[in-house]
Amino acid sequence: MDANSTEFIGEAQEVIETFSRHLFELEAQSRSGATDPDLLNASFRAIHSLKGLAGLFGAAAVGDLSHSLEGTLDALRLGKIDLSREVLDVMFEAVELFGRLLDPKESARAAETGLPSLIIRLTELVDAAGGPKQKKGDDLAFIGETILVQLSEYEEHRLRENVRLGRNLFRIHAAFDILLIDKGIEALKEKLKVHGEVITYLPSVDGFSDDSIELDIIVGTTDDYRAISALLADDNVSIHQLTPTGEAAPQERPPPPSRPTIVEPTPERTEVVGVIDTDEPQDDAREDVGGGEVSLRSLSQTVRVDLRRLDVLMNLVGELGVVQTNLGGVLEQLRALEASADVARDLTVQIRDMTRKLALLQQGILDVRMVPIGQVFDKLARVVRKLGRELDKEIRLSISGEETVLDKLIVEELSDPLMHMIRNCIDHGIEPTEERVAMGKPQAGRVELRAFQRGNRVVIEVDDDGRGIDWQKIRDVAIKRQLVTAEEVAGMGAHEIINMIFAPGFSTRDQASAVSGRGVGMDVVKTNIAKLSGMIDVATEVGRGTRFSITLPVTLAIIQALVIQSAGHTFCIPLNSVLESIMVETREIATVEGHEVITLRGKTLPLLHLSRLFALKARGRVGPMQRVYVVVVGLAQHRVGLVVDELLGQQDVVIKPLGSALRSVPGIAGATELGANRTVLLLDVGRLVDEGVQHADAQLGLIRR
Amino acid sequence: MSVEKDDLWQALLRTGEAVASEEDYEHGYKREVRQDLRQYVAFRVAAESYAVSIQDVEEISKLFETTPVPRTAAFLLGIGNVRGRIMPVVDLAHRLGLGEAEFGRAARVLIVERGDEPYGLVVDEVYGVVRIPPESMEERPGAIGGTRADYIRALGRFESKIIIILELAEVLEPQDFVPRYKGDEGS
Repeated sequence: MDANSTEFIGEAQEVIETFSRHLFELEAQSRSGATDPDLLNASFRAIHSLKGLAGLFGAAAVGDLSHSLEGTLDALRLGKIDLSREVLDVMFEAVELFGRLLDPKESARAAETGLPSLIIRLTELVDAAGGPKQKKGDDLAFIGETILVQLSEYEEHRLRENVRLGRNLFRIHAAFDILLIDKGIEALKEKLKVHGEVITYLPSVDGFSDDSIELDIIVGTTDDYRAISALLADDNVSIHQLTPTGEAAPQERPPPPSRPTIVEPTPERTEVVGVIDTDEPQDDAREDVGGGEVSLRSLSQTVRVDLRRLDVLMNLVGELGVVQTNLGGVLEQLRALEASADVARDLTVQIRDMTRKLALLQQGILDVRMVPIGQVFDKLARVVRKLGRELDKEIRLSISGEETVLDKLIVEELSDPLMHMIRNCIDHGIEPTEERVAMGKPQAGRVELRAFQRGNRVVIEVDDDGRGIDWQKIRDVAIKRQLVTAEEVAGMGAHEIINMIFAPGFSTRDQASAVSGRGVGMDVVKTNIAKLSGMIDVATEVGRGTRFSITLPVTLAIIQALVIQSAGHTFCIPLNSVLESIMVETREIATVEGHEVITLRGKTLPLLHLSRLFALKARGRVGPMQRVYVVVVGLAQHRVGLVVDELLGQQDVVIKPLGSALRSVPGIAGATELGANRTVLLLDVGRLVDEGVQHADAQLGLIRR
Repeated sequence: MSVEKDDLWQALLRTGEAVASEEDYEHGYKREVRQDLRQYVAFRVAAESYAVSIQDVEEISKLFETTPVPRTAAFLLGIGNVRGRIMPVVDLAHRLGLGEAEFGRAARVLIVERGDEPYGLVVDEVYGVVRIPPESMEERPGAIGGTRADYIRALGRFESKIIIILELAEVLEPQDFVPRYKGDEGS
């Protein structure tokens, strides 16, 4: 086993990503003043297992870094240091460094340059805090010496926190049947967690009998005695309130004993220094105290599978589908024979069963390829944080829909385009702080990343409240860069002009900043999105902000296709690029300078006749028609109507490449089987739309959308 | 399809290089086995006899349905599907400039492999496997000009008939499949 094995890298990356996610949550919580001790524990556990993992695979650098980081996290957990912005910074740097250490190409350099200094800084954070901030026992005497001596350092810290927050402390004495103790404790804990924090549970000093165990559970809660009694009325427990000695009433806040900073929830600013605080119940404090044991078990019950292997399986399933169709044919023949009616009936049942299972199998394989988009969002969140710092802009990033799943391949291909967009948005979109304040906007720029499923597509939106895109400025730049002529621009709508930001070589900044503005960004974004047969749209309002929406198919290996017929030939159109299908009376079709168009909801839509485009020889009887079907397709920011004769329905199809000889047929993306060994071509919508648009542009400079 | 396949196998058995006979064992391999005999699959296209090296042939199949592909060369009948493998199917008569022929009952598809990808070649009739010694091979005669000459690797003589050995790399040149589309400039 070595440190470069994919097994190690994959698993370590998973842990680091989890950790990074925790960090973001912690940062958000620290801003609002209350961090979840569970989350800190989870982070600690994650890094702890990473250390174990690194040891197992002999990844010394990763091991060293996780060891130091673990120390920092332990100090945080125990309240020895505060979750300040500096601490978060260093931990985020650690996340980056982990990434480099895991990259076989970068690893050596990262270990040499980045590692030592970061380890020193991590250590310094802990050292600066010194030893435990308080002597044991002084102010906690009211808990009772017998309990106090049994508390671990962490539990004592949590207890102190609860006292500091002025919570009521209760000792709940419960007896459990020795056989049912596991379930009993769990049930009680679940109940209590809703109302407060279970700090610890200890075997009762009152002793225990043979068939039952008595426990003392210490709970910190904002509820009073009466509420707790009511809550536990059904359980066979006795409840004692533990009141701090002296006159200190539970409601009164003892002054924070040793904290240099004070919670001040000002959610507008990222600079707010957080303080570990508790709001949420403690999961199980005992299990992670100490943390000396390294589990050799994998963190997750997962296997990593090469996507190509899944492709092979997918193909096989597709072929099974064909076999199934053929079986249907055999069945028909069997039915025709009178003697075999019984057999035919049996076969019908079996084939039906097989069809169902086949569909499940296909879905199962697809599901395996699916990963949550959150993987990319986490990386983007780090980019936002870093950029905000570099450009000295305050950014509030909000993320939603990170659980939305997409094909692994798409998620991978998506990270670069999204990064470009985020960069542009922070660099060009969000104004400098002074400008925002002057405009009466909140000081911190808002960037939203959203993902959600809409039908069989996934929509990803990048939304900001920055300065928006000024179409007049875009127009001037486009003319200056000689992307268009002044005459061409005259006939364009605002939306179309704004779409020129996707043109190659377009950049509005005169000087390229270090962050973006090399004029490749949006062009690359568009190409990459189109490659994934996705669409990108932009909506913007000057002074109010910009929203980019990317619409993507959920998967590429198998796609939903619209099966159509034109001049007796059958084709498939990827459904994710189909916006709608409409029936059009031939008399509704108008011509503008020889080019056919229809008006769809007030917008002009150029038409493309598939039969003419492909010079299809009519097969079968194709007479003049009164009405045709128009399939409105769009890719990236363009829309075109494909004129076809028939819509034959929708179907899931497995895409097969055409091979090197036919790879470059313009307008054809691949082939697929539609049962009974029938091979059907899949249209390359992007290409056809481009052709249509070029056509229209050349002739009339039509409105593209 | 299986019949032709059996024929091929029989032909392989007959060659003697791969399979030793009873006689061989008895006489201690005294029989001279010519190692330099090349094997070809011979077939008819229009009125001419052609052959391709047996190593290039994967399978011989009866005609199957093809799906025409728009914007491709006229010699391409379309794409076919043999047990889940998609392949371009070429009308060899058309490709070789012998005119468009109606495929009769004897017509077959030679499935050949180039660069790990299958292609189908429709021929009018498959003769079988022939073995042609090098001394019966001729270089392409200079007198045959025109584009057709490029498709000829050599001329072989088998039982006093002339067989044209095809240069598959030329016949299946990918660039010829997709004529430069006129809307293609710029991209």
